[in-house]
Amino acid sequence: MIVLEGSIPAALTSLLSVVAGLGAIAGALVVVTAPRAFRAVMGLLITVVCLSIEYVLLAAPVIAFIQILVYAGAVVVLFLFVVMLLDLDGSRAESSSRGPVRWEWAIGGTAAFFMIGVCGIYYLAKLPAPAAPAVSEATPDGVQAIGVTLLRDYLVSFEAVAVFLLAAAVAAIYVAHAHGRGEKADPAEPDPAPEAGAAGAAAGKEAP
Amino acid sequence: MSGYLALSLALFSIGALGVVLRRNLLVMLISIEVMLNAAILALVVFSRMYGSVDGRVMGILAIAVAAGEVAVGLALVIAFVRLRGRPDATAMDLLKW
Amino acid sequence: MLAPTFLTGPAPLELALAPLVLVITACVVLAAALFRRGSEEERLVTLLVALGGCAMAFLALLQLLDRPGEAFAGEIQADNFGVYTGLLATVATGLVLLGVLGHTRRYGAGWGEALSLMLLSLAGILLVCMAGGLLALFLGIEILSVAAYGLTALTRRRGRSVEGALRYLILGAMASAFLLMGIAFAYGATGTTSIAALAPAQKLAHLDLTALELLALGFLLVGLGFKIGAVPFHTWVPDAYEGAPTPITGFMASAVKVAAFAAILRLVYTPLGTAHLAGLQNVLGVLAALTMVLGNLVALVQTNFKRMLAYSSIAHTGYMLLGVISPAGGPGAVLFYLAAYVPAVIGAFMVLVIIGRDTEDLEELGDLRGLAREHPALGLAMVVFMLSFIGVPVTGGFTAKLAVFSAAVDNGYVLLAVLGIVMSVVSVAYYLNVVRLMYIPAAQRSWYRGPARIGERAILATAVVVLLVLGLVPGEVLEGALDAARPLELLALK
Repeated sequence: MIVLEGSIPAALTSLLSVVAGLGAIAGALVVVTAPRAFRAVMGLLITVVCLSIEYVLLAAPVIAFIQILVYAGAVVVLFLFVVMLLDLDGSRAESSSRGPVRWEWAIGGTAAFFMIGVCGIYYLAKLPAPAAPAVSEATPDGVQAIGVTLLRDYLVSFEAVAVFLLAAAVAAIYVAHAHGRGEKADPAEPDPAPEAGAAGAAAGKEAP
Repeated sequence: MSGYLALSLALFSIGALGVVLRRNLLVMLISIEVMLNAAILALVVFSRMYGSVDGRVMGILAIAVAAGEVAVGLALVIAFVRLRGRPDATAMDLLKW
Repeated sequence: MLAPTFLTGPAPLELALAPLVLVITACVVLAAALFRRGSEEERLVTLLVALGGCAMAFLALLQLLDRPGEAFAGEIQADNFGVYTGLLATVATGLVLLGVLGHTRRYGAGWGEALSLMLLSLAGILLVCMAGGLLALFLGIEILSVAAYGLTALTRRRGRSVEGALRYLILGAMASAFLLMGIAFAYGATGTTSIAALAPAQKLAHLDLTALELLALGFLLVGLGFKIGAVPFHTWVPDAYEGAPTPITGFMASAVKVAAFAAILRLVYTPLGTAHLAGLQNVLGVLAALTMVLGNLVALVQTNFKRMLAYSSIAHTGYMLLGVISPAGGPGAVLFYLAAYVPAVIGAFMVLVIIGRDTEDLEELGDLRGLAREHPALGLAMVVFMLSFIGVPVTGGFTAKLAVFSAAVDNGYVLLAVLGIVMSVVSVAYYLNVVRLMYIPAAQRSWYRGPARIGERAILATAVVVLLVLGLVPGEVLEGALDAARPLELLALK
């Protein structure tokens, strides 16, 4: 699957890329129009998986794997967890008073946005053909190239992500934590599950 | 290549639309994730276009950022539901101009 | 190639020292807060540690003044512009921390978390100020934003706090998506991720990538518009400012704003930005006009002091945008404006913190009624802050507005400058209303008990003195600000 160029007919890969692209858009439309949060999460899952197929077709298998690991593995599961948590808590999760978006709204709005994009793309018709990657990412050397670039050219950013995750973990645990000392508990609300904070932290730690 | 960029722009628009139109806080957060995914796709496309690794490295770090942001967002939604009972932006009525 | 820079300029680690110190201090504070959790000792010790961290970061930055250098493959760019904005943000954070010294009792829960988030946020701000790469800039903005969401929700039992934080987060995360998209397209249009080298289509001169460039600038503008709080994207500002605990609001209105303007100046004045400077100026000019008008008019009808200051902060964003679009002298004027705005806004919020320190959070305009009669010193300080917001001569606000408006006139934006002056006159109404309320007699009420604490005196005195110095003898600071921003201007005027 990794060594796409040459081994699979070009027509097949372009067909696959079109199908995956349509799948990603369908998933995104499900997200926007879903009446229930649960279905929106499933829509996100479709988008994420289709996009990771596109990444493989774009000769970036490493980012495809990370996409599956972090998005499908952590983010989607975290969303599902929270949907379940809030849902079990008295089926209140879906009581959106304004209701789901009407289809005509969604389609009209997307079309408007998309037109702008297409106008841009019109100028992009002369976009250069993809340059051959200096080192194919599929080989161990390619992964090495990513690692070297990450830790040489983007060292500061790499460390900054660590700081970002620390800040995110502190903020998430603090905000979702039920009772702090020296803080009055709210009698009107039942004690929420403390796992939420742990889940937030877990997502923060799994991400890199 | 243009096709991939169009896909990225389309996903971004749909996500932005979701944030603007939906009132369910969880769905709004999921729509933001769709927008971030579109941006990451654009990074990978340009990385392929230039044949350089930079775009992919940025994409990897951006995925980590997206995951961290969603953790804080969900924590806030939980805190909000604890106070107000439902994850619904129309229940945000304490602050008004 | 490495050796000469190593010998003449600062060492790589020296450039990153200030953020590093802050991150380490944040970890120390987090760990220290575990001991004797909830006790007065814990709060005092962690606060002193945090203040020490700020002081060390300040010194580390001061070392870099007039010693420009870059390191880590160009991701850290410590020019005078970055050092100047970084110093300003560090001082602002230090002042806020000093302001809560002495009445830490009210901030019971989450004390350690609050301090560490503030330090991490400051580390992110310094990264934004000194970023040499698009990705480092983005990550700095993300660090400071995510810490700010947590800080806004600090009083997690208060509905308004959580609500403000949620609105802030949803709009902020959307803005981050716009920024990331803009960065992706900027990379696509130029093939590089270094801010200094962000020149249009170097590698592919035979191809027309103008559309990519325009998309990149459009996405970046929307994202940065959210972060600075310019008008169509301003709705989170009043909610976050009102929802956050008052000292945190002071932090967001000062240090976070400095970072947002550092980011927009850095990105507008790149080769990519200056190639489309006329278009950017048109768009930002319209935004500036809208921001000035709406901020001032809505501030007129506010009854909540924090919300009023939030809209006033939007109005000041508008004035500063005038400087952003004026290549000749504008960026330097914006830096000076920030230096004059920061002490006034921190001081105003700190007066609110001080009068409510022994009771509950006071934030209504009516709470200020009769304040100056009971506490003349506090009242006088507040008068100075309000006069500086208006831009009355003798205060720093006057020099700042003069600098920004004259830069706008120099660059041909006479109408916008006139609009700014008219709007400043409108703003007199709501700023002087605060003064009027403080001086009318009111039933005796006590805002706080006991004498003013040392930290409170220090912060108010510092703010007043800085404002008067910037108003009376602005020469050196103004020159410094103009010099620091000169490289940006040169890029545009080339």
